[in-house]
Amino acid sequence: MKEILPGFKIIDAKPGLFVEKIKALVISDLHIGYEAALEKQGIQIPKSQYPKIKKQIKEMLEMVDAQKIIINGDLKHEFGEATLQEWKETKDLLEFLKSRKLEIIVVRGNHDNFIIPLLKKMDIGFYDPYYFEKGILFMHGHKEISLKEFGKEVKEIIIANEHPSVVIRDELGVKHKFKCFLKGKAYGKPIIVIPALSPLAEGYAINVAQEFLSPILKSVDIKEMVAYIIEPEAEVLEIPLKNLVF
Amino acid sequence: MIRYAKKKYTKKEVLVLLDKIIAEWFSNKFEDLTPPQAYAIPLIHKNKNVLVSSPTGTGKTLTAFISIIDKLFRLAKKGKLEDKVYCIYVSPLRALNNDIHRNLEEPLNEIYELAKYKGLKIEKIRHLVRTGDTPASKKQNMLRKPPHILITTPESLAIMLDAPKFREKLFSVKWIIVDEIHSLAESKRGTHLSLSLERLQYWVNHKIVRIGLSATISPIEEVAKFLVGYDKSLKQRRCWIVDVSFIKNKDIRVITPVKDVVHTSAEKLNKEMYKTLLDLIKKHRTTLIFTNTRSGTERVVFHLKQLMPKEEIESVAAHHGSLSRHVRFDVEEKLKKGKLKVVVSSTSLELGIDIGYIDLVVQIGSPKSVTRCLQRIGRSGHALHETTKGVMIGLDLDDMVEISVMVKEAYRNHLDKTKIPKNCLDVLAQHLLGMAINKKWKVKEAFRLVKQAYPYRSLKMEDFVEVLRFLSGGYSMLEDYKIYGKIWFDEKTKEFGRRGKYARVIYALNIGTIPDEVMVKVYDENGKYVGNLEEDFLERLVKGDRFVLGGRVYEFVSARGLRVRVKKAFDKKPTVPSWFSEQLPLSFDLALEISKFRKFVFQNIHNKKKVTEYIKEKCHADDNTANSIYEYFLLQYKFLKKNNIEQMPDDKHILVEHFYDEEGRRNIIWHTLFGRKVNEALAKAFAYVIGKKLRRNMGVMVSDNGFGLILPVDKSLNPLNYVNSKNLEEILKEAVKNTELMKRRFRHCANRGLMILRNYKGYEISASKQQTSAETLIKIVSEIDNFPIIKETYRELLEDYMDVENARKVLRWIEEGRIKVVEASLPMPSPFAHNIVLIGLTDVVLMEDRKEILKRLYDKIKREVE
Repeated sequence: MKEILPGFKIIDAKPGLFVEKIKALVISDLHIGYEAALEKQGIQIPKSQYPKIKKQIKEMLEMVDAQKIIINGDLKHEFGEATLQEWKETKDLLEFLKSRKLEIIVVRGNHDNFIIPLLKKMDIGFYDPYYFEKGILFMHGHKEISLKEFGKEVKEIIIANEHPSVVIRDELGVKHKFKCFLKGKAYGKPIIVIPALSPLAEGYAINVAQEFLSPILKSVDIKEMVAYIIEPEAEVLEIPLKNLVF
Repeated sequence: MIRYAKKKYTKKEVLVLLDKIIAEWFSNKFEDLTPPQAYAIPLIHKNKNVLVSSPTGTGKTLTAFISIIDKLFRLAKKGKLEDKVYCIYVSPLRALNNDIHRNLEEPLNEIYELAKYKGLKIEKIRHLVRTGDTPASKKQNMLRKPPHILITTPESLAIMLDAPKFREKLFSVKWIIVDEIHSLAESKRGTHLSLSLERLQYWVNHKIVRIGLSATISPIEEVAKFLVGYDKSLKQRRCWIVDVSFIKNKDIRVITPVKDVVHTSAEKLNKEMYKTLLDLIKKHRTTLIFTNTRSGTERVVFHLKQLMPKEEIESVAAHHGSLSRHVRFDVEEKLKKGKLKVVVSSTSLELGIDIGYIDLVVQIGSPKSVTRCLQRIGRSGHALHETTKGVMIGLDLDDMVEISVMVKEAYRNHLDKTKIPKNCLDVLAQHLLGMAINKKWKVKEAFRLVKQAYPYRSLKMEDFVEVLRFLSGGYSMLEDYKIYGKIWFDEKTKEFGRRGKYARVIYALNIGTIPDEVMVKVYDENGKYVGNLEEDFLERLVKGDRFVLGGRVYEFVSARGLRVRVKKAFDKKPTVPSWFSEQLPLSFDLALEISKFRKFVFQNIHNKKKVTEYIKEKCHADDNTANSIYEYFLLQYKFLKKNNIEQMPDDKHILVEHFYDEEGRRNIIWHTLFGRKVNEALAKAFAYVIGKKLRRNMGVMVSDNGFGLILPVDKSLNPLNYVNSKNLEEILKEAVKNTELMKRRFRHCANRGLMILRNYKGYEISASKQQTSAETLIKIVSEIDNFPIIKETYRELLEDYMDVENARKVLRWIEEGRIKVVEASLPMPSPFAHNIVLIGLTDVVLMEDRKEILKRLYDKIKREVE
């Protein structure tokens, strides 16, 4: 467990954040059903991603004492009609989480239009455009939000949407891409960006693109952010982005 | 059974076989039969499968067609010429198709006129071209009135096999002619065609006669087997070989424009070379120059235009694959009309489009194989009784050695062997989809059909089933997902067939074996366009990297979409090697001959006269070449001697030299003269095992003459302790896993195997624009055992890109003691190692920078030994 802000821990190089104050596991960008979307674009890959997603979540839950799970946007990958299977998978995951006696909080992402009825039916909290608890503001990050009008005291901001990753070149000039968390400051508050849980979303290379996608981060200087690389079976690696900008 | 035609028929004997009018037409037109005609026409007349190998300009086309025209004419005479396809002609080039169409026009018209003159009123024999360029309206007309002779490409033929209605018009076909079969056989395009031929044969009730036309190639029996395949009981079909490859006289010379290549400045060398070129051009009517690379072509044209007299500038032209089809066509037309004095080409004019009168071929730099050398030189002296004439110019010492040995072998008619790819699962996937569209299949029946094609003769049922599983969208844990499968496959009843209405569209839009390369345009700091880069290469670049483009060094600044900005860095060294260079690999067979040549020269190193005379006589080289080669070997000899190495590198000894480079890193150079494909395999395997032991990445430099390893730490490990002929393949698979090379090849295979479609429901898909890159996809599909696309990627890398088979052979030779490894610690790289050390700078013709470094290294050694 790597503590990147007081009370905020990365769970063993996995794409999940544990928030101690509220005993919550925060994950994001699961993009269930991504395979089907790829299929529609002409890329045929085996449909074996959901079991991996579930396994990852299960493993993380076993490592922390979580009472709630916050899915910070893009639970399902939606572009138009979905197959029955995707619904089955989404439902299966939510039921699994329920069976663990977890409070489930789904924050709206840019892909979450059609799951609302399902969430209602299952009596699961759906938060649009943000979820706020004990000073911590959770939002997906695809839309800007005015903190001034917020009224409450925001202490930390947690977003996703960015699918952050960094590209590092080895001695021979070969590039490798790694998923990572990002930490920095936005609106004068500490902010953490969570990587995508979907095995198919390898990520958006922040240090190559040199700009952020999320409007929340648009005024943030890349060089002031720190990346926490998560590579399975390795330790979390902390690198300031200023050392990685090409 | 494959047999060689021994009987040469006389003109009289051949003409009695033909209809009187055809015979009369032929007699009026031609004095005598050409050699391929004298051997092959009677065989084709008896409906035998025939493979004809002979040089251009020996009447090959008519050899194939005359008997067919004769039989169609007889049908027409009887009023029995029906509206159906009798003959299909397939060639790899659309340009060649148009040529053939034109070349048939004349005889068909003349014969028709002659018949009319004789009072015969008959139906005309129709011949038409059908390719991707053919407009829909013409295709519609073809459906109503199909051509008797259909001229097409392998891809279009495959599409026709699934074209509703039109496919049935093909079922009457009696003859198939495959032109330029040598170029098809060694690539996946040929593999693709071989399956099309068997698919067509499956639907036809009679035996289709197969006629192959080839340039010089070896082993010719393999190509014959490739042409005919196997019958339903998997017995090899019969084929006759007519091999008259060597009937033309040749006059090939190796020349070097200056006395001392090493110590002549690049500027002077260039000047002298162009002087020599101009001189040659002046003395001939039309000269064809080959340069190996496109950038080289552009540079030679540029310089020639500056040097040619003003009124002749328009008679200089370039012809290469990056030029638009329109420009190329224009050049070809001018060539045919004899309007060009000189045309410069990379490889595009190698194949048999009729390019008119060429009386000299000049090859700048090594063409890397004897076969290619002969094919290129064979483009000159188009008429049968003319001598083919070629001049070879080497660019550096290794090049000079290479082309000298090449010419020696060419005169001995020693061709290097080509390899026909085996069991390509990606190509198979395309055809299985095509087959599924035709009808419902029993697995066993479809499997047998596929095995009838020569490249699939050893295909395993397991692999076949894996491809079906993949196409059916199997591998999913969950049934519901299967709706996206392109076919349905029932593992219980062992049947498969088409699924979904898009199958046909996917098939038609994604067929073919040549991967899309996305090119990005490069502009300098002044906004001037300087050339194209492959997108994959661009992905590797970061700001500040320097690389070679069009023979010059540029520094990468930034990239936006398909536009790249660079700045000039002409006087600097490149920092990123162009890994994806256009260079051809040296053939294994020729490499072995060069090793033997090394042995001869070292054995006679104290007898300059003997060595230089040998080179001049056997290699047809000039004084400059012979002297330079001798001096080069002498320096290597003296240098090794001085460092107490007694054994020189030759065909029985691999020299392994260790030295420290300017940055103090240990370099190990393996002088494995086996060609780049073999060296690539050895180098990758060695680097992998050493890297694993040291837990660090290794630098690798690979050339045709050897390879180099750069060790990150100063330790000497012998890779032969870990790599052997038995585990090489497994190690290589590990070594290429997740490399840039693997990703790139995977994408190509995924395209061909229809895993990543290039075009889906009318959308053009750029693989690079996908959010999910090949890297992620590889990771996901690698988890599945025997996933066919991954399997094929490894196969292609190991067997086609590298040459694992011959690499294994080399390791076995070492294990058996037939080749000895000699280790040497040296203060600096030996002369033979210079080109390997400079590998980062390879893909350049005439690059000043590189030459400077070579000279420096060479002089350092000279001082050392004197």
